[in-house]
Amino acid sequence: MKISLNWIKEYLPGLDFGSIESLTEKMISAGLDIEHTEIQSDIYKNFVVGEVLEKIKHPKADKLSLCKVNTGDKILNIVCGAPNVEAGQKVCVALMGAVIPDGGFEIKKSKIRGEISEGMICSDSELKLSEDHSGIKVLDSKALPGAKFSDYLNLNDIIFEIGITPNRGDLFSHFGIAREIAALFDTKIKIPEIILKESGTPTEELIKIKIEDEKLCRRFTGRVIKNVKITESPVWLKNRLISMGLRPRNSIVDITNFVMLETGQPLHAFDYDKIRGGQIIVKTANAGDKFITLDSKERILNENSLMVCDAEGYSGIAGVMGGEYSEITNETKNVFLESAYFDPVNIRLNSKNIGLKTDASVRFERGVDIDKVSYASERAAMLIQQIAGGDVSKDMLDVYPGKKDANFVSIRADKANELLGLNLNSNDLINLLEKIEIEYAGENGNYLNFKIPEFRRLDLEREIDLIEEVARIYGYDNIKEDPVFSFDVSNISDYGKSERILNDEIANHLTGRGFNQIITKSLIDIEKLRETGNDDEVVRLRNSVSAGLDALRKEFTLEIFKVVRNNFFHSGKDISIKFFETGRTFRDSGDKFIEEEKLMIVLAGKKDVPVFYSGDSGFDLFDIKGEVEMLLSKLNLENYRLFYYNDNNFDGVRIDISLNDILIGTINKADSKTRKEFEIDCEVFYAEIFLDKIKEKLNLNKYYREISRFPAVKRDLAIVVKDEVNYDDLREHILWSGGGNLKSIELFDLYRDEKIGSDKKSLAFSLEFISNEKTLTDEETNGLMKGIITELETKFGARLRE
Amino acid sequence: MIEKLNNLKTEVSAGIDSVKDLKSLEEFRIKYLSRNGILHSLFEEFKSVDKESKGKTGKALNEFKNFLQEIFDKKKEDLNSGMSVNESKTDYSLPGRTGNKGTKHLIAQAIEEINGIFENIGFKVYYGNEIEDEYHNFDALNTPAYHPSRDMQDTFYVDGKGKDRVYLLRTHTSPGQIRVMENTKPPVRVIVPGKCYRNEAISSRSLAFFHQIEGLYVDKKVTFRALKGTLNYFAKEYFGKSLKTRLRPSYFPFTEPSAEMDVECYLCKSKGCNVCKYTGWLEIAGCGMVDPNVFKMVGYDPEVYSGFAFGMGIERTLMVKHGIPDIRIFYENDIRFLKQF
Repeated sequence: MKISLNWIKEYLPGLDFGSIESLTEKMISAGLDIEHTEIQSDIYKNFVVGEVLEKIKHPKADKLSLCKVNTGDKILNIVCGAPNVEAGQKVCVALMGAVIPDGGFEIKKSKIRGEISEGMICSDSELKLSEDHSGIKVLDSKALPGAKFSDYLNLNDIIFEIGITPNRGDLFSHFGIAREIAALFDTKIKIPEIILKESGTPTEELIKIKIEDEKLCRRFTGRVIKNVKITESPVWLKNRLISMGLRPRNSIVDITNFVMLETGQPLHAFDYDKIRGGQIIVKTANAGDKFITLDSKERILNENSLMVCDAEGYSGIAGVMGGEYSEITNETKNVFLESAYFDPVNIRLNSKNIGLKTDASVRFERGVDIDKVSYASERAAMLIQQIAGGDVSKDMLDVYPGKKDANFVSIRADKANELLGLNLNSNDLINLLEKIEIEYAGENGNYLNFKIPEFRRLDLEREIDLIEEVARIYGYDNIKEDPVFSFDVSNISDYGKSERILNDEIANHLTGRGFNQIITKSLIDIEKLRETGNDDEVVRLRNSVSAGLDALRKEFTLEIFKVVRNNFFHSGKDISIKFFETGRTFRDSGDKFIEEEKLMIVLAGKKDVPVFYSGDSGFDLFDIKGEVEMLLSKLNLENYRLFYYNDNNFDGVRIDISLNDILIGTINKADSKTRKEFEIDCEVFYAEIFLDKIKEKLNLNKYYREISRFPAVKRDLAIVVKDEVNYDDLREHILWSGGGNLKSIELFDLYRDEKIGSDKKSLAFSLEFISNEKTLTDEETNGLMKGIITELETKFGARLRE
Repeated sequence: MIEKLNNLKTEVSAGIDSVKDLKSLEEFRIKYLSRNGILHSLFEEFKSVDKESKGKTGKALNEFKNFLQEIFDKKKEDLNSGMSVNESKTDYSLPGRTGNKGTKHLIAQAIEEINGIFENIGFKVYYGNEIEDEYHNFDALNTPAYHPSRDMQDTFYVDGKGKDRVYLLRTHTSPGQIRVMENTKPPVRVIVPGKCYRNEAISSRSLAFFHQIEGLYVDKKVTFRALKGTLNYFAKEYFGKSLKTRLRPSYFPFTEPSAEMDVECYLCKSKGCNVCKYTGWLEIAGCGMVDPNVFKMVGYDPEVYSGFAFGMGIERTLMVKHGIPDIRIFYENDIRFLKQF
């Protein structure tokens, strides 16, 4: 909320706050979260009052005048274009260096059509004081040339914007902030004394108050002020409200707002003559009833809506907003003033349900000071009497069924010391807490009892709450820090260690392979899934405020394809996209939600960044397959199998990766339909790895495998087989028939040719034989080769290529 | 013949220098190494050498053959390392062969770095679920229904048909604290990084989700002083040793006393700039001593154990640290952004 320092000063008369910097620092270290400080005079820095001494016509321009202006210490030449400028006027002059509030440009010495101008005479609109730009602003004739314009306007306040935490409802007022500042200077605030002239009629003869729900309304006070004169508020009151960002309305409404900002107690003023039956009843509404609030909007009530009613119906939504029917107008003669305490939880619920948050509801829902309900009423009555006149009814009507005993909380010095790492004794605690009006009330063993002030009843309930106050007033800055010691980790659980290692391995490997890690949105548009009929098991959100973010992703593809598309769109089609993402996907299995950690790898576009020596080729399926194979090998996962799918209705590719009969991922080429949908022209290859599945199988403890000291023998094997024979099967049989000394197989050539037959293909392998025991002889190797050839001949009808 | 070989050796050494391209190298090869070349004729000649000097001459001839081959191979290699057949000199200012520059996402880098800083002092990493129940996200963290601080966090509720609890997307990583404490006895030292969600309108400051990292330390006699020490250690490791920090009182339902930690603005060194909104300080983490009510919820005795917790938003810190103006940039995954970090 906004807090005015000048206003605060009224409750701390004579106190020297020191410099604004040191005050701000003190307030921050006490926990007042100053989000912004506005020094009002800064708005009109380098603006002064000037007196126009002389005005002559500009020799070269009909509409301009040359003015000599006295600005106190200097007489300036100023070119002015306003029609209403005249000699003898007091005006506002922007000196050189001044920044014009409307537009933000800086005034510099300049020549206007050949004439020197050393400043500018300002209009209302240039000063952002009103919309009026018909001519210059003419000041009061008594204004002193050379005086700061901010002083002329009386702008000498400092406005703090302070963030109030939910536990400190008591800070929603100038009293509250003043109390905190007082504690910083070891003093107490002085609240204005009530001086009220009551007239004859007792309030209870003018109005009856009945609380039907005493839990929701613990106190309700009323007072009638008759024969008021509704006018504009005096300047001091209007300025207070304006500085708080409120628009002045009329004296009565302004006073209720002022008292709320002063005390934190929201008030409501009714037109007394619109309270039917002279009766106030506080009760909950019938669900579904409608009510028009004073902002002329129709509100739909619910069974939790606590209402202030008269004999015939609703008159206001308790603690939230009054009704249009009974609002104060310029014709109002008699005022009924309400000051009450409403239940915080109920106000919070009701304000949320109705969808109406007001300055009043915000304060009620954090709890107002129930003791000060009557003070606020009297303070407002007193101001109304001063400003609007009128007869204040005798004896405020105070219905207070919810009065509670004072609350006491105890604290142990040793507990506070143990937690804070301090060494405070009982006296220290008493001194610290009494600074913020928490009064010592005797001891009980090693427990010190304290009486909690009513305005902090909701916040200070337990020992720990007092310990926090001790720390806060002692000053967090004054508590020393312990050096970080090396912790004993022997008893610490490993928690997500394997996940962390797996993620790191993957990210390190793939970034080394030239991949860029991406993080995409996990919130998606359910409509997109519905269109593709892929919305089963999707996890939906019930209350998203953003269109298009109403479900959790089931898979990465939707967002990743979008990212691929956007990159092509922004950087052209020649780029090489190598992306990966690790993260969660979500499913609703009916009885529970399932979160799966997955890795997605994507290749699209050109294989290489285009440079002078590179080819122009795009990725193909063997690029993504190779990346997956390398990654799995890096993760020490070798014994997986791949399953290939053929589906005539699908022009993409899908390969399943299976480890011990568990599906651990897929390798894919996107089909043309999907690419078209995402407006991607080139092929997109992607692989998904289900990290939860491989986490269980992962063993990164690698064991040494013997490296032979004997030389390797290399042999090439070129065969011709039928087209349908696949590589995997050939490889498996070569390995099996080659025996333990066959250490590696590389396919180095694959071709089809008329000469070898149209339904045939030729494959050439490079085989490497190594024994750990000896150098293999030619004869031994020939024998092994022969075994392999025989196997391939009998199994696949292969023949050797000449 | 030996003398002849020596003369030829001198001739070849001089001749090879004039070979500047593959064409003249080929001429060189034809002259010396081809079937009709000098070497071949030397071997023919060798056949007629008398028996006594055959050994000596043969050795010299072999040496000459090797010499010739070596000098040819070396020249060939030199010439081939140039970029084109006709080029006699390589332009070493041509660009090197690079591939795609691999990068980790900036957010992942930050989480990895922060994980490491805390692992160095004995913290372990825990990953919680992103779909949480209301109990672990709020109630167990001392934030009962209708608590005003639930307003601080706009929550995405999940359609939980058929489930026995109310489910939501975690609004912070703090439910991770509860999960850990429910399942382990003290001492606890854990950090919880991960995605969190807030049901807010999308803007340059808010994208409905973000990353947070959370820390928790529970043991006997853990004090506010240890909290200060740990967070100061972190700030110095992560932001730099020369920067000042401060703790100021704040409020969170699950810690008491609670604080916000600020670090001196590293751009302006606390002189005041756009980034720190002229305060000289940047808010980096919320923290505090674990509220006794939280301990009661997980069955820890607050009279025996104490602890502290802290949490920070990753994106917000990175935006300040790297001058990134809009949170949406993190999730657009534009390759031009990804490759910058």
